[in-house]
Amino acid sequence: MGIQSVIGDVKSTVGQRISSFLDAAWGAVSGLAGNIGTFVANIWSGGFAGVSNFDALKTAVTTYANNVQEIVDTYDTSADLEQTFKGQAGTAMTEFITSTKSLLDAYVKLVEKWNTELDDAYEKYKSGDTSLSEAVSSDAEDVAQAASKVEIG
Amino acid sequence: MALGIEGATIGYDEGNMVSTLNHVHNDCVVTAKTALRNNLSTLRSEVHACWVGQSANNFMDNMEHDVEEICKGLDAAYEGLVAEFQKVLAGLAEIDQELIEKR
Repeated sequence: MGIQSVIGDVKSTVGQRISSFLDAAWGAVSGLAGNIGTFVANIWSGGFAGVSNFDALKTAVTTYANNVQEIVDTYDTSADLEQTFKGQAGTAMTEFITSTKSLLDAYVKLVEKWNTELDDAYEKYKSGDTSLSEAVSSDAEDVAQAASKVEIG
Repeated sequence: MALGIEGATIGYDEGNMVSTLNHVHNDCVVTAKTALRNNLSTLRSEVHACWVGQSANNFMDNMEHDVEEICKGLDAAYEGLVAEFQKVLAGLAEIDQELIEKR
């Protein structure tokens, strides 16, 4: 499920009445959707070079997403608002809180999707591991042969 | 008899308006920004504990850039909310002034 459809579903969940003042924030999240596929580009193209513990990396990203989600889950369209605002003003305020929550939900879903991509990329890397080792071994032999031909003195 | 906003269909409690707006700002915008930045800081430490090199730095720089874009968006959203409120309240004030004509 692409992030654009996630964002679309979230928007329709709160109705089509997300006020224009949140467009800038939604633009930021929608812009991040373009990163799908490129999120792990640096990792995959480098063959996970420099990653000493993949599971720890995945756990770190998962924990980040879960911690942000925990905060977002505390958002509440507080009944206190009804003591202060009525009519259009109250509606705008409630809509702001709901939309902010939805936006952050969409960002967390995006991070979770990136984490899934990370998993897929690492599986591909592991399945290609043998060929990577053979290539490294072959290169090492070439270097050794070339070195043996060098005369010193 | 004190007239309260309870039961009203339109209007606002002027005395509580500013504190309510601040409350929403703190609970929504500030809380979100703080949560994103603090957890990102933790993520950076954990990532660098298991991943070294330029790619690790690029990964975290990208994550921080994304969070800052969202934070800027949230700030802009709140400013937009306040501006919209000012329009609504100006409209209510106008109605209030013109509803009953002084003899």
